[in-house]
Amino acid sequence: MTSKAPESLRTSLTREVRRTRTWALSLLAVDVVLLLLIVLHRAQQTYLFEGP
Amino acid sequence: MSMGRHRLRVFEGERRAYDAAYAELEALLLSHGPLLPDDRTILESILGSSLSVDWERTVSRELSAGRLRRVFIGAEAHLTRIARDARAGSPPLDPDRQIPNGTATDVAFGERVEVDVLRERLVLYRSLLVGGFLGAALLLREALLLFL
Repeated sequence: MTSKAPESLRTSLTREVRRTRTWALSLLAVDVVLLLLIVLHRAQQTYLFEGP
Repeated sequence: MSMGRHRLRVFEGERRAYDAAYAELEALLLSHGPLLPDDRTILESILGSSLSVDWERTVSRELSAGRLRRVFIGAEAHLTRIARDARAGSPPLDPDRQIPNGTATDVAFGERVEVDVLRERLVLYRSLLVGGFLGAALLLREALLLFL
């Protein structure tokens, strides 16, 4: 049975930082998309009700 | 006082601290005399940037004064070792190795600084993650109310 070498703190932190950054940026992208959808929907409603 | 002005004052404080630390390192380098190319490489790796780099650029790389202070202490320790080796008459560098003798602590120090930086980044990204999650929850609720 092969034993794995212990991972250094720096390596594990680097991986953790990368994973957290990916999640954070994905969530921010979702935020932007949702915000755009809401704004566009509101603009469309205003256009429909008030006319050009 | 506006938040912007407060932040500017903090930034100016950092600049002064950086300036003082940089002048100190320059004086140390001058007192030591010419550096060997390998010494220069090691010092640059400790500093995380080129020795000739202008400090404006380094400040913009978000090196805080506190962290910089610790980096300079590491550089100072390395220079002291070089000077001690030179006084003892022994060559400061082991020609068979890239890393000179007695600099294991410098390498460890550099690693500690790097770990500090990684921890700070982790805190930042975690904050972003929480903010993004809360924002997504609020916007999702808003979107559901609009569309359903």
